[in-house]
Amino acid sequence: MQGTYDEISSDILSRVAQVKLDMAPSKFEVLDEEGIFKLLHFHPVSAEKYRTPVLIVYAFINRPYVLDMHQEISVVQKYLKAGFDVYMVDWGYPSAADRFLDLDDYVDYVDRCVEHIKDRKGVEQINLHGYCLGGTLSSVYTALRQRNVRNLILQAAPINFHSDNTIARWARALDPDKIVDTYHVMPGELLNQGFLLLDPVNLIIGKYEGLLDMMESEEGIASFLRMDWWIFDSPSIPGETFRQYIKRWYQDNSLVKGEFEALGEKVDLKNIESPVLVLAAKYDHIVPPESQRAILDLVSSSDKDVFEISKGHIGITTSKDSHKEFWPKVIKWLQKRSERRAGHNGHNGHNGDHA
Amino acid sequence: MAEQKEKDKSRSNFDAYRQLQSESYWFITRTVAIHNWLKEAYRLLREKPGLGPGVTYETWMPAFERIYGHLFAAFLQPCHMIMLPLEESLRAQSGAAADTQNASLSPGTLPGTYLETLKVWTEEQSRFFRGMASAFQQVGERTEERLPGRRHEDDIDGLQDMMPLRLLGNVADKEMRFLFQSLEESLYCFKESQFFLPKSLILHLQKLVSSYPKAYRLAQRYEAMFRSTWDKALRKFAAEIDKGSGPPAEFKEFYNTYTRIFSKEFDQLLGSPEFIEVQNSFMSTNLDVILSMRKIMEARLEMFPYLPFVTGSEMASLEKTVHGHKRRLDSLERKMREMERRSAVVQESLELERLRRSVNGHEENPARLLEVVK
Repeated sequence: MQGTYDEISSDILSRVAQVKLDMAPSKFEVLDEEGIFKLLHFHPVSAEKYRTPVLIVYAFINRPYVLDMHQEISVVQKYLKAGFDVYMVDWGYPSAADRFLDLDDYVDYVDRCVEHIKDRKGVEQINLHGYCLGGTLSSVYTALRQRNVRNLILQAAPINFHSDNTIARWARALDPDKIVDTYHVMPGELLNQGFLLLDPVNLIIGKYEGLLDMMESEEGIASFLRMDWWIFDSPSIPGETFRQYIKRWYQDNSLVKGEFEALGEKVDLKNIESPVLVLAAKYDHIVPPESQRAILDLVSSSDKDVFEISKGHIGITTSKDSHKEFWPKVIKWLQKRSERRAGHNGHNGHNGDHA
Repeated sequence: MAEQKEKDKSRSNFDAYRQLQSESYWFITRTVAIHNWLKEAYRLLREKPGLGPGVTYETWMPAFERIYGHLFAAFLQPCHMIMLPLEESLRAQSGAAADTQNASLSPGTLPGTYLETLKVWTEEQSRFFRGMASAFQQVGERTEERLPGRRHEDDIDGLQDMMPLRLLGNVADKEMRFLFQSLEESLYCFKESQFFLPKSLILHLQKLVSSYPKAYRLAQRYEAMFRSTWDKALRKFAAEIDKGSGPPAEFKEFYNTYTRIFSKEFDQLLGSPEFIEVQNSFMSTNLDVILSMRKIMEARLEMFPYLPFVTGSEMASLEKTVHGHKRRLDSLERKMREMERRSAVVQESLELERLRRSVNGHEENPARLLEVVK
């Protein structure tokens, strides 16, 4: 772009001001609320073909609508169109008043959601899809309540926290106590600054320079702004949760060592026997692929696989490319392993094609 | 006409600000500035190629100094924030101490007595509020008459980043003064309390006084690490550009070389144990300062037990209790649901057994049936 600062910034800001940001296209209802936690149920867009519902558990960093940001890049829509009944956990916006929520409360709410869905649908098992730390929570939950989980999908989920990337080094050296004692939560703004500082030249200059390059495309600007809106829509993390997350997961690596406890029990990932699919992002600078794949050596499942894509931690979900082949492949994997409803595709009972 | 144009621009700035997350607004406006300074560096290179890495570096310095400022403004803000409230008094203290000895910034150079400290603190806080009020006022004035030759871009070095002050400047000018004035007056009232100073106030002041110089030093070290890496990367960039047969034909090529070199240098810095140590120490000391300041405010409130303030510690204790009760309630609800489920199973089994016996012509014996079900 050419011009003085005044000219360029006015031009950009006036274009930005005119763009309409339609977000989260899938309609949903809130089925359950527990403080700031909510269970969302998405309205179907096609006939329900599978008895086994899907519960999506997102991380407690950022917001879950990244999986349903726009029609073209909506993972939720992919599941709905494939004929699944889809649910999602929303962890809300914790404030200082929620500072005492800890990881146990998060795992406990996943359990509550699973029981709620089981009762509602009259099924014994659900499919669990965990993204990022939501994947870590899902692994913990499955290890504790394997009987409730038919298939486990882990997307960019950290399991081995002793990786050698910058964020892991920072987290291992961090003193979470002081942050929690001072702010009572880990403020979202501080988290964002940390993420940006991992690679300021590319994540700031590189990214926004990209915006300058796409100023002629209204859709380009809209999709950039949707993404940027989501990135900075970052709730704080409750103090106790943050304390445990840094100490027990990053510093002690307790999950891999089998030393982590939740719901009053030791979490042994060997208890996971259901089919496990790891969705790994090759260029993930937040959770390196080796940290994501670590689960495969720790579970007892005989049916386990990794689908890797040359994207980053978020691009795995939001890139248009990944919705062309990668996500359809994931859906197919789950369809094969989910229980079909009677009358669909000639199957009447358990296991669908997989059996 | 020009006035209308300016008004339209302000309006769209404000609309964009409303539409965006504040961070996006910050980074978009700063990236435009960075983009233009990079273009300026590229223009200088095209105009005078082959100057050699040393001269190229010198020529680029002013432009890259601005880029550095824009890029790291958000990250280095804590450094500036930690210095802002007490900077003046610290300077005064260390200046006074330097007259008698070669003092460095240490607790020893700070006020020798608690009472003096308290005096400095109160005056400093008042000064801080006055400074804020005057900053807002200046921005308001700036809005009215922009100084000739002043770049619009320069505005974003100040409070402009916090909100579209071109619109809000006037409001800030008129309203904020009163707000800060009243804050200042309330501080004066605090000082005049009829109660003794709580001991916790003095102890936290002592903590603040001892952690502040440390935080100040660490802030300087932290920023120095960014600066030296930036300088190193700029020298490398100048050398690499000079190695080529001429300036890059396209700006994009120039830009890509810049991002590659700077990104690599910063990647090395940010993952290094030295940087991590300084970053953590700085954060930790910074938090000590913030926590002490918060405790001091809380201790001040203790001087006014008749005022309807609930302190942070009281709230924390209440919230902990509530959370504990909520957990207990959840677990009881869960147990009740489980018991209801079991009870339903027992009832169904009883009914089933009754029907079976009835079909077989047996007499009903509920006690016996219950035993069977168990």
